[in-house]
Amino acid sequence: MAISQRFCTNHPERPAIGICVMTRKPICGECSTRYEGVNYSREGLKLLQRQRASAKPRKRKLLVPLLAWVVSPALLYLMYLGYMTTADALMRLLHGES
Amino acid sequence: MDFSEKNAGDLGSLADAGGPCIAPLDAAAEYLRRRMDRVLPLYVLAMAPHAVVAVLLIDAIVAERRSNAETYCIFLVIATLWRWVWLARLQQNVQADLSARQRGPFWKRTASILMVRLFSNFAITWGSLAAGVPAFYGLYVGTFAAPLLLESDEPTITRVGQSLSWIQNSGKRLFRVSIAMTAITILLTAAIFLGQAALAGTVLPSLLGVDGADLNVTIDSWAWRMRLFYLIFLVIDAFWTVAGVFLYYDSQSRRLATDLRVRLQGMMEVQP
Repeated sequence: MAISQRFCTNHPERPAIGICVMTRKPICGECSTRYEGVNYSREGLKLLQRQRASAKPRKRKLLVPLLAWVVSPALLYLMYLGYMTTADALMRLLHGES
Repeated sequence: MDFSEKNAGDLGSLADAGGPCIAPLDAAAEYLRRRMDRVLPLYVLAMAPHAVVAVLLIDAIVAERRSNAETYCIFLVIATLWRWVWLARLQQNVQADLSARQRGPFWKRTASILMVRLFSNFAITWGSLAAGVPAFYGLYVGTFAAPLLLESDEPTITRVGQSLSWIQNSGKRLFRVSIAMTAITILLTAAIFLGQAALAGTVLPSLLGVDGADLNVTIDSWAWRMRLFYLIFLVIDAFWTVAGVFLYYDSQSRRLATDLRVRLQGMMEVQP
């Protein structure tokens, strides 16, 4: 690929500061819009908008959050158990078996 | 000086600019230096209950009071949940500064952040008994939880999946970061213990003429040593909390190819 890719696609005289995540074109600061932590060019934003508009509304998955809420008390207990095991080990280390 | 307006560009670009693996750590240290006033109050709020319970637990361990230790371990679980909530708030402030944007809604994502932290904590503690890999992923998913979930409204499971792919992609780099953090911790621990020994053994008796006998009784005790270890944990934890946001953007930009340096390197490699 040509070295000219270091420069903005729309402004060849300006150095590029990033790559549009949709169009994969190098873009300068003026052409770049940061959205959700990612660089987009103007065309890239339009593509994203079109993609999102055409996307069907997703069905909300309930199983995973439900499972997470059910498992979390067990994880809290394991956390307590972890602290207690460490405290026990330290007591044994400092005072020997008793 | 308003950091978000004047300096966010500098640090934001540093976080995205690739370079050595410790570049995000450097940026985090610089952020801490400039914005300690923004970090410290929230960090104290997050850690105050945790520190109180930890000191009580240390006393119970040293005095071998097992029933007290059991009670304090329950309090420590509650204090840890409190700590996670306020550290997430602290990370949200850093994230807002870096992206030069207003803070978004926090409380509606708090339960998800806690859930991710809980699972990652499980991976770090119990997962590490099986192998080092779950602990590694758990450490970084837990560290990234707040910036990850506060950046987008996508479902938690989708975001966690994305973050795992970023961590996988930057695996070597993040592993080197872990090594660097371990080295910093060891150096800090050695410096504190050597400094303390020099103070009690040489400076106080020879230069100031103070009898260090009572002091030696204190610093030779396990209660004192464990408190010092906790103090070192606090310093490293405060730094890691801030560095986590920088590492998050670093890993994200590498995976999504928004890091120009890496992209250009790739282009040059395929050039005939």
